[in-house]
Amino acid sequence: MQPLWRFINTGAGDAAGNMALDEALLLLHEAHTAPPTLRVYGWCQPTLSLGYAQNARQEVDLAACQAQGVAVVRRPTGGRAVLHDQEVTYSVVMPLVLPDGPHTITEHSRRIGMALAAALQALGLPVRLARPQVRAVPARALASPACFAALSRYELSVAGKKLVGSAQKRAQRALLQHGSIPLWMDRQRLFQCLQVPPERRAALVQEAYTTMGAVNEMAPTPVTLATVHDALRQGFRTTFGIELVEMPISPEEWRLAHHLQATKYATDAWNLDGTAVWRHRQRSMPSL
Amino acid sequence: MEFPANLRYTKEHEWARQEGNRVVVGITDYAQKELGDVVFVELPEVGTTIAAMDTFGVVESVKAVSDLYAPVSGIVVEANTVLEDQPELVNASPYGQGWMVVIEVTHLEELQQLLTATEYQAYVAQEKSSR
Repeated sequence: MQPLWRFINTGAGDAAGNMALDEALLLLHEAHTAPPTLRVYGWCQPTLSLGYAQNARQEVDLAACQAQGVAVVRRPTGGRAVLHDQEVTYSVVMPLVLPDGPHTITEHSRRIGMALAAALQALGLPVRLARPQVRAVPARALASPACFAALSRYELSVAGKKLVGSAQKRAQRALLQHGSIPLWMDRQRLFQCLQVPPERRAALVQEAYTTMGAVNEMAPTPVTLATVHDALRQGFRTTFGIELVEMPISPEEWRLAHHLQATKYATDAWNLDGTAVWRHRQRSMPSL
Repeated sequence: MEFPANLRYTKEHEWARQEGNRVVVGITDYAQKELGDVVFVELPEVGTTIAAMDTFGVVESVKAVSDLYAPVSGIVVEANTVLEDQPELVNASPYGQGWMVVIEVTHLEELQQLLTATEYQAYVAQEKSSR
């Protein structure tokens, strides 16, 4: 019998709620009380999500975000800033130990990359999987604040343009990977939200047209949210050899998600001050 | 890939080196290779009490944040703050300059429950080839 995973479309959510639910799904799968899950979702308002270790106050133009109605949230996962707007966001929570292959980081990234590639190929996009690279320069030195500015191993591109930006969090027995599949991309707005030298902004936006892509800029026929959802479901089903069954989020998962939303993802300490400050404040709060 | 015989290991890919009643902790050569370029390391404050297999920090490589697990229980008496500015030392020298914390151990016998180099090497081989 094929392993059973849950498929859930939670629709458009707010920034804090979206991140909180992804973390709750990971924690409860890790605790053996929730199934592996492929979730698709969207955003109530344009949202800039930051990687776990990014410095919000140095890398984000918070005033510009506020003026443009762009929410800011820090992810539980790594990587760089992503502007979520007209896109499909996916998240996958799965066990580290796979029944049919090595359970290494490389293999997990490769398998998820293959599932995403299968989905996008089904939409008529000739995607390529980026291969692992050995670099002479530390990755830190090359980093741009924008996620879509660089291809990591097993990420997807079409004609050299990055099409899916993904980031991962690994726990003891399970992993969470989530990512953005833009249907359309507003490069201007992305670089307005980031702290970049004003004189370089126009050049960065221009460059982004050659390095970052969106599905409906490249697909042979217009693609809708529902088409991408179906393609993702099929891509994961065949790549992982699983059954994907629609099941709701459990009350326990919602409870934990609401707790994480209130105490973490809706706080300035987590989103703006950084993980170390948030952790310090958590420790100094009286326990209930 | 190096598996020094004088260290003990966790299945989560941390190493532990005993120095009296203290244990130096880092991540293994295999782990750093799998993670790829390490770009950020978050460690606990000195004085933090941790239990064996509690998370004590995180390491971020290109696109993955991974929890770090304490091999033994005790109090963190040193944290390698050099890694804040030079996280790449974890890649360059996982058993040397890339060390992460020193724990003053409360139960030294916990060390005996960790994997030996031979056992860890076999575990890694299994992880890489499982079908």
